[in-house]
Amino acid sequence: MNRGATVGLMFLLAGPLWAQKDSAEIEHFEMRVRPLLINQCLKCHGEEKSKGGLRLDSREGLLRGGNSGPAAKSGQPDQSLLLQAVRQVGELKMPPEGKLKGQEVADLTTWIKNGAPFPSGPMKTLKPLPLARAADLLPNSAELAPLLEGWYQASSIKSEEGNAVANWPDSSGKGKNLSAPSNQGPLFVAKSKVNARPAVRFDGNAKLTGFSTVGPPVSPGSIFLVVHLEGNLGKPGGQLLAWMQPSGKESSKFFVDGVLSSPILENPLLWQGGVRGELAEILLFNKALSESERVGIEAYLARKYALVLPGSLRDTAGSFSKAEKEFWSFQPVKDRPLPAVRDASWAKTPIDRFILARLEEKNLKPSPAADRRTLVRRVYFDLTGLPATPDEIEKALQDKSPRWLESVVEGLLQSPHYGERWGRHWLDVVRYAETTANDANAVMRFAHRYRDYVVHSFNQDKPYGQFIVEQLAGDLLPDTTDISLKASRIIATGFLMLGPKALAETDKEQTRLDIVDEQIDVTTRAFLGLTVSCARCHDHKFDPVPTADYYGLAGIFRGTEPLMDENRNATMFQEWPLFQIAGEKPFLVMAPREGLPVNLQVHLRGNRFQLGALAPRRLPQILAGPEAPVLSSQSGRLELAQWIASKGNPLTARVMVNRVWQHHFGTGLVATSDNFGKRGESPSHAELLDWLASRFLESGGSVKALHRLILSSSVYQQATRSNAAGETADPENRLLWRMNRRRLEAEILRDAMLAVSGKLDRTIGGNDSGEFLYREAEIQDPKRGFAPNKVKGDHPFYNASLRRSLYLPVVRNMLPDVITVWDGADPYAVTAVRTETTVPSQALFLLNNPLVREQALQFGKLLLSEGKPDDTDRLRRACLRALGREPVAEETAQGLTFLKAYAAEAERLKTPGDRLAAAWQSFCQMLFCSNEFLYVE
Amino acid sequence: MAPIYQPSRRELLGHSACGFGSVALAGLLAGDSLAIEKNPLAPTRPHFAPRAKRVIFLFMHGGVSHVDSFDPKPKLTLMDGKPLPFPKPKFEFAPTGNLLKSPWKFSKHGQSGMEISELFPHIGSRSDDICLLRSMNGGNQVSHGPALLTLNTGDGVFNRPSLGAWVLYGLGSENQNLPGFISLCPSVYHGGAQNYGAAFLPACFQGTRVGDGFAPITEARLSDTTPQDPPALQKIQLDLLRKENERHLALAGRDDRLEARIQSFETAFRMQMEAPKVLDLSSETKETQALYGIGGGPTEEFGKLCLLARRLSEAGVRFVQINHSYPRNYWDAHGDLKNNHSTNALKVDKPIAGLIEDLKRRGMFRDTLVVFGTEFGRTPAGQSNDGRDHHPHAFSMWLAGGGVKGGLTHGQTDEFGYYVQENKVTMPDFHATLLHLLGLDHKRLTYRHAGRDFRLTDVHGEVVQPILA
Repeated sequence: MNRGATVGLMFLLAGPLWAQKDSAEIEHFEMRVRPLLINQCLKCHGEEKSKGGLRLDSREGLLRGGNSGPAAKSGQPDQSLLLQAVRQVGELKMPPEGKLKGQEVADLTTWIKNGAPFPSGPMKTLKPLPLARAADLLPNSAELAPLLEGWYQASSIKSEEGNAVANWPDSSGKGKNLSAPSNQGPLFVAKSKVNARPAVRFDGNAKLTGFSTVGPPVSPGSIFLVVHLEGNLGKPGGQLLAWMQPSGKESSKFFVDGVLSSPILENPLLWQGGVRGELAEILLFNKALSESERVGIEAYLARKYALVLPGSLRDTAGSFSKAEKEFWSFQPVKDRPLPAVRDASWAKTPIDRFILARLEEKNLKPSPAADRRTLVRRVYFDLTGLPATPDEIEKALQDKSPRWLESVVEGLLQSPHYGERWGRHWLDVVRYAETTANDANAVMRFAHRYRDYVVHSFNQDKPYGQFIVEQLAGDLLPDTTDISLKASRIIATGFLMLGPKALAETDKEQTRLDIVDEQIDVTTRAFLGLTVSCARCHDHKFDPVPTADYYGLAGIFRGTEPLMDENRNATMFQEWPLFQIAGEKPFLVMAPREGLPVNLQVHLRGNRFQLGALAPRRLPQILAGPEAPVLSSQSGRLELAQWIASKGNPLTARVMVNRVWQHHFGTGLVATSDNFGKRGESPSHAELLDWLASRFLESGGSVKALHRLILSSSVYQQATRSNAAGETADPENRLLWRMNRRRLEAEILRDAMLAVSGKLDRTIGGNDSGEFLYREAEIQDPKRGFAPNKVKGDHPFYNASLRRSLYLPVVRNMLPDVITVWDGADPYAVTAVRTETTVPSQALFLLNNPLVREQALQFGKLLLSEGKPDDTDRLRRACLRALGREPVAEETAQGLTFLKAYAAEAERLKTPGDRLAAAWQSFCQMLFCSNEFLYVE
Repeated sequence: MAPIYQPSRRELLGHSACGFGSVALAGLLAGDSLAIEKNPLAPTRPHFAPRAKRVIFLFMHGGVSHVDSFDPKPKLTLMDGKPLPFPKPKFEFAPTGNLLKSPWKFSKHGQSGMEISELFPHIGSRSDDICLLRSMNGGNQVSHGPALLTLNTGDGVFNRPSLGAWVLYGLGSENQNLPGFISLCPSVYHGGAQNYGAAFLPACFQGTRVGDGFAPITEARLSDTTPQDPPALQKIQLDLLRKENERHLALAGRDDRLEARIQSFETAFRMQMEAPKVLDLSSETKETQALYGIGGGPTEEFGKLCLLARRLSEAGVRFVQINHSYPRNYWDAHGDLKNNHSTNALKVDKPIAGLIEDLKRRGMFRDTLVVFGTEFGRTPAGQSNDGRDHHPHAFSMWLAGGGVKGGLTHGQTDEFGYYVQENKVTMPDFHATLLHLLGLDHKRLTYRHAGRDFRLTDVHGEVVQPILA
């Protein structure tokens, strides 16, 4: 067990013991006082109004008070004006309309008595957070202590996994410790099936003796057990059994998880043998507890062991307004009929009908089709991210078929470079990187396998649903004998491992929860276009996502171990699965490991020391309904993945087709492609979005089929040139009256330079990046692995590499300069839309960076060494290679003038080296700098 | 209908016969409206009248011990070797022992009588110019990485834009020929580039690194600003580029991005000229250099950093961070405190005092905010006999210049320097105050990302009003 989990368990288990003075007071404030102040006082005494000069949104405000003097005296409730006012005994009566409840007044009294602690935190627009349904009652509370006969908590056993328990101490104070006859004791389990809490395992034969005489068959009495029973009786995560035997002739009552049940265990004397299971806690009382006492104890135990009682789901059910329920993106995808249009000849595909209908509404005309060369350049960059060679262009130009473009598109879809291009788009979304970031920034040496899996999946046109399930829960799919299939599914779960992690944090449980948060963020934004992680500290401010939903998902992810450790440089981890595929070397896969099911409580304001109601593992309610708990014998990841990938999910298909659209047009139909919530933008063409989503679902989630649909449309094939009517009516071109001109992304700019210079290494996949980083880490800092931070953006490795840019090392903190300068994706979080800046540092990069200089030199050498030794011909070949077209006469003339002027000036300056090569280098660099090279029409 | 589609500036000017550079110079110097509209780095108006226009942030990496520098604790001397009479914090980096007295004497300085130890005699002589915060609190960030990130970005865990990036985003840059935010010799450790990164803000707001913690500043260059061809040859090349781009633009129709790109080459060409001039300290007089401790000795390196920072500030760079950073410089005295802090203080003390003096001479002190910051203090209890551990629970930083009260001491720690006793200043408070001095309301300086409006101060932060002049 790692240290983080131990610490976490200590806090969770030691609930009542941990409640030392400070924390209990803070908890009291957070749970009782802050919501009260917000709801009852701040409307008049807060940021907006401060009636009577009084503000109650900070401790200073409270103590300073208003016109009538200080509102409170720390530690002295009876001397405090605030309490006089709310008790309504004097002249000043607050709140003006009505009176606080007795409990509320008592809460304020306690708070002032505690010295009025007032941690900073939001003081407005928060709904009160859900509290536990029933107040906890502690077994040793004043009312119950006299009745308590024995209290056995597995957490108080000092033992190690698998050791026999010889002695189980009694926490009741009565000293009735249990002991085992030699060699017959049950075994200690550090992380049991009772939500991973410590327990004692009974195999049917083990015994413990020393109980008081209370309990069956002796009556009266009560017994509470927190247990995971083996066999049919068991329930994932454990359950709470309670047995009440009143005195006299009344029959006993038996409760399972708080619900009156038939006595499944007439004689629940687990310790006397015969029952198999893991027992975490036993409570014995010498009389049958009252209904309210029983409920109080059950609440205490449920909270302590994160058990889901009936009612837990109900307690944390969200209440949604009509508008929230009817929000567009939460409605099922609906196949739309094609709208009527006037100019049917332009609308050659259904997509065009949707586009044209909107244009016609605004009296706009689509733009003419782009010429063939432009289209070739466009589809090449769109589908493979590489420029077409002069031969490829020529071939397309010579094709007499009306379906010439389809042939080009089909060829590109079959190219292995297609997966590199579209895989990189996906890597943006899943925050792909090869180091952990933050302090340690340890190398994730095998992250590349996930990257290659993504490239391969796109090349295969893997059904999108399968792609989702593999990444979220590939490890939980039914086992298979196909080793390479199995390996690829495990590799896919690297998705969960890739996030930034603060491995050097001192508080390890906090680190785990931050990892969980990151996983929720990437999962919900990547697949669903929902920003669920906003609900970590409070109900989502804009979307119908209550904190209970966040913690419902958090429970799912918390049940999965990330298997990483700052001190091991994350380069090797023995627990990682090892695969051996015939004919290959055995290899390790960076993967998480399924742990035990966990249910979390709501963390008030995201603070793990301030726990609210139990939030059973569940799916987001606005989409899945309030009664959709995730009840799995596993973490629930598989159910989550399958639900996301299900055809009925209204968001999944819409979000994906929108991403594909975005990468063809520059902007999605929903411009905020990772936010389909209220704060996101409404779709520019809602019907088209649904029509595309329907086709996507129909095709079984084929992304390549989507490309074919989109690329064959007239709207895609338009020219980019602007016109006055369009600029006036729709300057942002949301209606697509022309094609958007797009700048080459960082990776593609570099790839294009390498391709044009003839130096590009077109190898697919592999691990030069990870091995390079690992070597750096080993050489420079074998102990801790901070070394990746030394791999700066201008590291020679980056410029020496001739591979496509997606294979360059991705060091969080230190991306290659070309990526940083050209607005590459920030690998810390989901990047749905890259920002696009136009700043002088990009020009400086193109003018002076060694990468550009070197590729310009190589490009020039290529021109000098191939073809006719004639400048005009060289200029023509340069233009064809870099820009995909013939030069115009003026251009050739200017090029020739340039070469002469350059030669003359170089001669005058007596520059060293090969002046002819330098002139051509300068010319080629000029091409790399040109807008025509940097943008795709 | 108004003629929306007008000939662009480029179309109006573009066909003039003048060569590369001249158009842009005329345009930019005249405050060309198009260039400014389209330029995210153009200077913008703050939320309210600023007290400071620029920042020089002196970052002391490793954790300067407050009880040995700016926060005298006679009780530590009295109880040297005895246990702390109250509980130590819940979050500590490593175990510490009993209380450890400071090896340095404190004395009162200036009219204010501010007590500063003999580690910093030169800064002491400037006590009436500085506003000392003795009640800094860095939360529970007991490790360097999270603590650095919290100081520089407001968050120790998640990737957030750095302070300088927020400032640049809020105010733009005064000099389009230089980066608006420069970090001099930052460490590659403890968050590395995250400490001056832009996170989800557009990349143009990130800090530009000059040098790093491994080498003295004299070996550093601004990346990609050194022309790879003689200027005369580069000019021929850029003339051809302009023709090529204008032919393309004529076919492309109106597109502001294409025009901005053309503009950017002109700016870049000038940056190549300007950057080396600003980085070149040789034009400074011997007297000025001496003021910073330049001319040999331990103050040489940090003196050059301070002088460079002044030159950059003077040239209009909005935010300059000077890093006295790992591995060459490090205040992290787990042991051998005396040697460690004496060596480090000797390097920075005179240059910092010189910087203040020089800013005053040039009339820049009143609208330049100088910050002396560190990621945490050090434990009043000793560690390994003669060292101190990390201590985020209470420590000292100071501000000077634009908008703060010189000679003021704000906040107080307990008699051992363990916890803040009065006027606690949290990192969000510090950030809110810094933005306030620059005319920015930390609650209004937001950026929409992932469905949320993010702030440097998240949901926290109060401006520390008593220190405002």
